[in-house]
Amino acid sequence: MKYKLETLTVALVSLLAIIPTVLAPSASVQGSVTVESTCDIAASPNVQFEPLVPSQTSTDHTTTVSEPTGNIVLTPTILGSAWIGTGETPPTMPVGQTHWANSDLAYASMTPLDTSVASINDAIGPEDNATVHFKLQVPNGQTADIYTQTITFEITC
Amino acid sequence: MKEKVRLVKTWVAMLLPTIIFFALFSVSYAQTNTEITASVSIFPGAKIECKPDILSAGSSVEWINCFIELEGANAQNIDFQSLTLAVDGLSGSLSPDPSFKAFNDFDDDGELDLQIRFNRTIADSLWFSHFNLPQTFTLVLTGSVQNFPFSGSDTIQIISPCSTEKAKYTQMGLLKADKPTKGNLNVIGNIDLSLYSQDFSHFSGFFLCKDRLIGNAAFYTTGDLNVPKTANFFRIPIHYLDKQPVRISVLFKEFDDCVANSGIVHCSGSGKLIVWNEGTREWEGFDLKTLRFDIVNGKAKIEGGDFWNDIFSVENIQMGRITVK
Repeated sequence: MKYKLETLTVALVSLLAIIPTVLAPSASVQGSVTVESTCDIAASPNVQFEPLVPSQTSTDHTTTVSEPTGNIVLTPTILGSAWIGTGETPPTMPVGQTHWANSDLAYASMTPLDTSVASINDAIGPEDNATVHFKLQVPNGQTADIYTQTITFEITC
Repeated sequence: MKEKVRLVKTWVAMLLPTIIFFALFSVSYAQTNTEITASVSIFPGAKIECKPDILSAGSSVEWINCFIELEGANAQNIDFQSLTLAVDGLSGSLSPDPSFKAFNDFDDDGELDLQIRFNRTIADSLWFSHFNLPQTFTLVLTGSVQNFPFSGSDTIQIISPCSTEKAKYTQMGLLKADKPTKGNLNVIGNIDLSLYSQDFSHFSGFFLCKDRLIGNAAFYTTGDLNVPKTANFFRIPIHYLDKQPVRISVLFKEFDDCVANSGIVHCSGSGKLIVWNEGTREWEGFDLKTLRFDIVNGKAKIEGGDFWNDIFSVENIQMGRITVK
């Protein structure tokens, strides 16, 4: 008899625990989130041409342009600065000696880099990178030195 | 009522800038960029020319002369200690004669050259004497200028002694049309040969080689030497050029080596340059410690001096007959 009473008590308590859930009125909630457009740009690695002599053309070198944290698809532009050597009165080399393209082409078929922007004609996005190919041709009589050039990739969003 | 209007104005004043900012923000674009650096080391280009082009084994040629012309750097800045000569594919290297170097525009192209020379006997023992002849070797000359390395190559052919038994060569007549179109006649003693204008020239010679090398070669030219002079006219100095008829002869005295085939004739040795002034009937002679000529494609080039062509150089001499046996 005692055992039966205990069983009945447990069953009653369980029923009481379930009742509010079962009898509660149901409701659905709708939420909306607006994801803002964001963009950024990164490029790597730096371009390290092999040592060259005047009138020689380099091999193909590439850099990858990406959008690490952005969420929209964009086409970057490219521009560059003149090559500059070292020392107090450093020698220079025209920016356009560097040619670029979207694939490994002959130097003459690539686009000369310029101080004005040009579209790289290849989109980048959250899941898409662009590879830019570079070649350099050294002019005849170019002064021997170590030269550097800045290449800038830009996006507008 | 007034209080309400004032309150509205205050709110508008506070909210308006914010509204304008967001309105502008919603229609403007952000520009962002990234930069990479491109870098390159540009080394000097080197044009290397080593002479002679053809060398007879066992000849008395003492030196292999090499001329270095740089592109993108000044030959005067070459680190002499860095210079070495090697032969492509063979071991061993050779340093230049430390007692000799000369700068000049030896090839007359407007660029300064550095002349250095390597001991031929050592080159023989290192490389040339170990092969059946004839044999062509690629000489590789390396060095540095202001810490930038350069390298260039040229070929030299080593042939058996007296590969040519006999060669004879002569310019076709004493024609004005045959006068050399390019020359480099420098100041020697009191005579400035750059002021010489040529009427005509002649060049001829021969060599025989059996057990030993014998031969003769002479270049002869006549023309005018425009000698600067000064005269006083009532104590006023007047400068003028005195045109003096001269004859210039270049004579080989000794041959170190001579080679010839159907395409080329080459001799090197030493000799003398003599200037004969027909007006004053005076003459001056100058030793040419080094003297050579090359006939290639029917045109001769003769040059000589203390160490190369520092006294005398004439090229583009149209040759008539060349006989090689």
